Amino acid sequence: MNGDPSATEILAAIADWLDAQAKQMAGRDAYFARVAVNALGIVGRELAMSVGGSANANAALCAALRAGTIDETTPGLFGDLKALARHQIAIDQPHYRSPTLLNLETDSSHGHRSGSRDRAES
Amino acid sequence: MTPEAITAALSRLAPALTPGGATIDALSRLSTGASLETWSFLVRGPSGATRLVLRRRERGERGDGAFTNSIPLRDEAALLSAAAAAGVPVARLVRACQPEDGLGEAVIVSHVDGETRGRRLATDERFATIRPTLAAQCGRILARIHAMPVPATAALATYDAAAEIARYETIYHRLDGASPILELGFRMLTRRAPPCPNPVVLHGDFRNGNLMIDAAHGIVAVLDWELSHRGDPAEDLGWLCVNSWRFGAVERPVGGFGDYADLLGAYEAEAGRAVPFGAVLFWQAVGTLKWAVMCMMMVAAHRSGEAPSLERLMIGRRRSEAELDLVTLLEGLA
Repeated sequence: MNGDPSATEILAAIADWLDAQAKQMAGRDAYFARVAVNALGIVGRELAMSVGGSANANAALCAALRAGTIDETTPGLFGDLKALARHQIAIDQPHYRSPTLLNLETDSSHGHRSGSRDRAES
Repeated sequence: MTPEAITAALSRLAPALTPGGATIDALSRLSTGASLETWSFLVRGPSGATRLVLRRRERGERGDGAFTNSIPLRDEAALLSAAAAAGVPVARLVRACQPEDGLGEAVIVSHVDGETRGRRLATDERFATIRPTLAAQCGRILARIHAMPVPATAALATYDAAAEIARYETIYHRLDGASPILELGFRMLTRRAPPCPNPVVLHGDFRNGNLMIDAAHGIVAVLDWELSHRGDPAEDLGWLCVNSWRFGAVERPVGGFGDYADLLGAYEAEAGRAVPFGAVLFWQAVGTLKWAVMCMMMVAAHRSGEAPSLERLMIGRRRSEAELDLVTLLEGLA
């Protein structure tokens, strides 16, 4: 173990510098500087969190879903897909707020619940 | 066209834009869409300065059909007139430009003051008073849009749910999509696609971001009619409720400002017929799936050189937000 700066450290330092620059900019320059800071954040998190997922496994899952050999009745499918989605959002937008199924049930308690079930079972 | 060339063409038109319009001033670009440009400018004349807005598209930049669903601006102009007649708040049509105007495919409308930035509308204290009224206002406006006759000069395509989903699945495959969540979405939603026996005029992109809001009066203009088509009324309502336009205010499903009940109640009162909540949730899922594909389209626009920008590339990384929202909606439907 040596003290060389890691790739993620270098990225973070660039992002910090750019963020300070952005505060001195105005208008479109400031906006695009903030986009660039966010972009560096994504790259840093991807480097730190990448699990080396297999592109082949992903393609096989897509093909099975397309062919219908796996569908929404396959046990565990939603759990797996939610884990995939949560991993990717942790890289792309760690502070993103997504409504849960519980939110939807609560929202639907405004007297429109039965319509939801009719549609879901059609 | 350069700003100088646009100013020159507008100067020739000035007398037709306002009474006594003489000169054009203060032309500035408002948006940097891939092909559609929006410009603000002043027409000066004896009675002072009038601010107008020019929307124009470089000739032939609507893409190859599979990648764009935009209608021509002359159809958008016809829809603006029809919407105004139907009591829908819109910017007033000033001129549907002709080829001899020298501006290409273009339309000129009145400037409307207000806020369109979705995050401010969903979270800024300035809109705290008006915010609770906006969902019902959306319901009333959508009911009026859905009762509009198709303008005689506008050839609007009709897409039922299955066709709408298929359009985006085609794009997804052309872009070499490989997302298990989107694959499941295409299959589940296609199997559940309802028929559409009575298609209506849809805005097609009615969401927080395309609504001009005044802090005292609420919605003062519905903008960006370029994705208008005919289809299921629930499509517009579901699109408005896609989580990506809530800007973090996820507990307020209608655009980050209101509840489903207010939207649907006001819609039913104005239209005289209800849209079932389940239909809205179905179309919210379709809308979320479409947003995921649109994120992929942004990356394609960058890579092809058509509209290279870091901003577009980064919107590609918003596909995962749509996937996360979609998988929850699909689990609810399953």
